Amino acid sequence: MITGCSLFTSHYDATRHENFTRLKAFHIKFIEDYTEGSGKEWNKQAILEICDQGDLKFKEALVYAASKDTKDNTGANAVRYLRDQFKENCSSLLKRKVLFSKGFSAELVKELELQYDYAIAGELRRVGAPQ
Amino acid sequence: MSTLEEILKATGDEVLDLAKSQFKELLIEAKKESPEVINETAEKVERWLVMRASGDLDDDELKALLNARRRTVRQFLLTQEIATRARLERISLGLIDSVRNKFIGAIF
Repeated sequence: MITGCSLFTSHYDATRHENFTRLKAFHIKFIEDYTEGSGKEWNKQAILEICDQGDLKFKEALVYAASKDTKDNTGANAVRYLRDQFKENCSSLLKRKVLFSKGFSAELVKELELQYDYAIAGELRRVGAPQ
Repeated sequence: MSTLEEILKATGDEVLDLAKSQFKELLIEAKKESPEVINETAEKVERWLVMRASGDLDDDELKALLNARRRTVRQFLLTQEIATRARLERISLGLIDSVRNKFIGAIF
């Protein structure tokens, strides 16, 4: 769907591409680390710390993407959807006071992989992307 | 309960009948659709409902997965938007560059 004044879109950006791959690895590891398993316990302080680290990573990626966007905002929006997903996962972990269940975690990780893969695919479809 | 049909039949409630019927119609429609993401959404929603009914997910987890799927679909649509805009740019600028670099001087 094409909306607004801008017909074309921001060109490929290697840093934005790299940010998607780094955030994907970080986000999936976060879910796996906080999924129930032997010897693991829910720890509020540890969760607050990792969520704070994640918040900074996503903020940096969002500010960078917005600085490189043309009027279409497609780069910033791609990061924004991923950041919102991370924030919801953090909120849920803190609110429920239990680690993610194995069944839920397996389904969620599949969704996260798709979300990041689509964001990366979008970057690779931009003008100037490596062939 | 192992299938969606069994789950929907088991939760007999007149108030829910219309919603159930609309949901089933949407599910059938989505499974016929391409692109793949729509078909995949139907399959996932069905699987998650079965998981919820069998106790493998609770209400909060089901809602969280549905929210995640909503974001997956949005990210997919954004990718399509980027691809369309980039294609328009490549075609438009390709036409202009062809005339500027190859036609002028060679044809005229």
